[in-house]
Formats: sequence, C-alpha cells, structure tokens
Amino acid sequence: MLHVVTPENRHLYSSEIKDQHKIRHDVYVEERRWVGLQSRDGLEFDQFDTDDTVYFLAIEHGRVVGGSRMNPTLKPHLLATICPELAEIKGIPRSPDIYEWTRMYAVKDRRDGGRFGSGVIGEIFSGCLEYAYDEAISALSLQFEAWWLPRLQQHGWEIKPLGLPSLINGEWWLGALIPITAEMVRSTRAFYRISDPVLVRNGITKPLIRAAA
Amino acid sequence: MSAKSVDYANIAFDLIDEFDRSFRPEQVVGCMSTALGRFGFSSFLVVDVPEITSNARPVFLLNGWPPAWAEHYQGHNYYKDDPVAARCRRSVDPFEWSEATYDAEKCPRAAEVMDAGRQFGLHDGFVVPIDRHTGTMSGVTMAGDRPDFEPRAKRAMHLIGLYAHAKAMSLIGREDISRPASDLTEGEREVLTWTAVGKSSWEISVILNMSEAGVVWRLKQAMSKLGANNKTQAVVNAIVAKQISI
Repeated sequence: MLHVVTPENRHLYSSEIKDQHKIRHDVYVEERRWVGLQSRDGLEFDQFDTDDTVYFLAIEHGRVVGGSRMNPTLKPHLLATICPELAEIKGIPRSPDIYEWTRMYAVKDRRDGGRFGSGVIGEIFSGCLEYAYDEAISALSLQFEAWWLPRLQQHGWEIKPLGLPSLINGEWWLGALIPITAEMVRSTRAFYRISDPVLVRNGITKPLIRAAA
Repeated sequence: MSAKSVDYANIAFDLIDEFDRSFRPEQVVGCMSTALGRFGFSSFLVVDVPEITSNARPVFLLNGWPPAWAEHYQGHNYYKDDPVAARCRRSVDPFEWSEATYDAEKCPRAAEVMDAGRQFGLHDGFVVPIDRHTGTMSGVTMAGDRPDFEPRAKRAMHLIGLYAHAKAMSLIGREDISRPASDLTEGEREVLTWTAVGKSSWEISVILNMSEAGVVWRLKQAMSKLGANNKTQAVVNAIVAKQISI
C-alpha cells in the first residue's frame, strides 16, 4: 500500500521517513551516483525535503520498499532552483494547484524485472496520480531522462514539454507538465493491472490545497 | 541565443501542437516533412529496429522515406548491414549518421548501404532511438542533403523524434484500455451534495476548508463523470445514479 505522509500526519511515520532517506542514499548516491547529493549518517536529504513536502511511502509488511514526493511549485523546488533550463521554452509552472513530483524509487528487490517492471513502481505511479486527482492538483511538474518519454506516454499521460532536452551530467533530460485527469489515472492503473485501492491516509483530515487565508 | 536558434525550438513545439490536431497518417507525414525541411531534412522514417535474425526486416511505423529508396533498401536486404540501424539498436542517445561508425574490413557491406543512401539524396542524417518496454528498439531517422547539426537544432530534432514516435504509435492504434464507469470520489460527492442544497462554490470552499479553485475542479470532474453539462444536471444525474443523496 502507498502511504500518504503530509505535514499533518508526519509524526505517525518518523521511523519510516528515516528508512526512506536511507534507501534514497542507497539508490541515488550509491547506485545511480547522482552528482551533488549530500548524505549524513547514511541518510540522503536535499533542500527540497521541507515542511511542505508530501511523501509517498510504499510499505509492505512494515518495510518501506519504495516512494516518491511532491512539493508545491509556489515554493522553491528542483526545476526552479537546480535545472531551470529544462523549462526554457514554456517557463517554470508556478501555481497553487501545480505540484512538482520527484524522486520515484524502489528498493532493488522490488523492481520486479525489466527497467520499469511491475509491482511497486506501478503502485507508486498509480497512487501518486490518484492522490493528485483527489486533491484537485491540476498538473504535476516532473523531470525525467528523455528516453523514458515513450514509456510514460504508453501510460496514457499527456506530456507537455517545458523545454528542449538538456544534457545534465552526461544524460539527456526533459522537463514536462502532465495534466491530471480521471482518464489518465484510470489508464495508469490499467497499465499496471491494478484494480484494488492503493492509497492509505492515516490521520489526514484536511485537503492539501486549502482556502487562501 | 540567436534568432535562428529560437526558431528551431519553436518549430519543434509547434509541430508537437500540430500532432495533437492531426488524425490521419498523411496529415502527420505532411506536417512532419514540412517541419523537418526547415532543418535541412528531405525525408524521415519512424521504424522498428528488431534484433538481427536471418529474416529480420525493419517495420515501417510512419513512412516519410522516398519510395524508391525504401524499395531499394528492402529489396537489397540492407538492414542487416546498416551501421545506422546497428547503432540505433544499441543506443538510447540520439546520434548523427556519421557517428554510426563501422569497421570497413569486418563490415564491407556497411559502406555500400551508406553509399546507396547518398545516391538517393540521403547524405547525412540524425537518429533518435526509441526504447519501447516490449524489448524492441524503434527509431526515428531523418536525412537530407546537408542538415543543420548545430547543437540547438539537434536538441529540437531530439524532441521531435520522441513525439513523432508517440504519434506514429497512436495512429497505428494502441491497445485499448478498458474503461469501467467510475464512481465519484468522496471529495466530488461532498461538493455535489453542498451544491445540491444551494451553496455556491465560494461557500463550499469555506465549509470544506479547501480552495475555491479546488471546489470548481471537483465539480468539473463530477460533471465529466456524470455526463452533465452544468452543475444542476450533475446534481440530478448523481441523485439518479445514487451517488449522492440529500
């Protein structure tokens, strides 16, 4: 199941959040060797792990096996701060109902064969999109290696590029906006043959996007 | 950034928009050829590049190739010796034809394939490999007499290649994903129920402590799911379908 962790219920997930940052160290620092990441005591954090971040934790039998996060685009976020060149043509999307979706990862033994495979990544994608839809997020801003584009399109997503592909640390990356609709949530679940509920919201009582004060 | 560089990005983005408005293969080939012409390409091909077996043939997904060249290529079974196809099978990064190197001694026919292409006006080209989750690689290849390989132009070609492949696949017809009728979400039910008793979107946003835009969004989604053109109809349809009660 994919657990939604917002500022409201974060206190219920302290140990799982710590596990997440350990796994992120394994995946992003050790395995993928991303440049510019800092880990302390084997836990990887960046400046976009903030009080506003919404985390998604795939938990199986009490063990964190994958996850992802979303950040509001009205606050500092990856695209705006680190790689704005990815949005050179269309500009950086900034809106109360647009969130940036980053750091989708799974532990090695839950990648289920093939680069995308099935299993936990499918649950993470489907759950995150369903959450976005439920919370009236109109679009998600994301960055990915350009060669993933055809596969993401096969999920039934409309992928609106924000700029030309850019070379980042020797790989071609693309920044894009994906509008959230009932149809694309449905097609993503169908793509991963998921028919059961995926999201768990422990102790969440408030909507994500609140009335302006 | 020179004015010419801005043009290349705009050509790519305008073409992607045009793809959204095009529904027949001829339309897509037409607007793609026109756009690529501005980079110096005279033709293009979206193609599957299967692994080499005794009778492996490339599968044309969207054909903008000169007919005589396609015939010559298939007739002479160039595929197994084509160094461009070979590199496309092994790479996810785009490359120029000139970067598809080969050992002339080990692959004597490779030179013959490239020379034959030149006879048909395809002197230089660019390839965007496409990784499909099926395990087969595809590619979008574009060629001409003297294309512009300035870095920004290549980035624009890269983007065009990625979207052209998706367009080609949609024209062929992807597997239909079954669409069961969907129930309203709890949020959609909530806003519809308050609407049913006469509350405005603003009032509902206060009652539910969410943004007004969020209320409007949920109403729109509910209308879409219920096949309604306005809020009143949505309320009626929802009550009939037993999705809400007041």
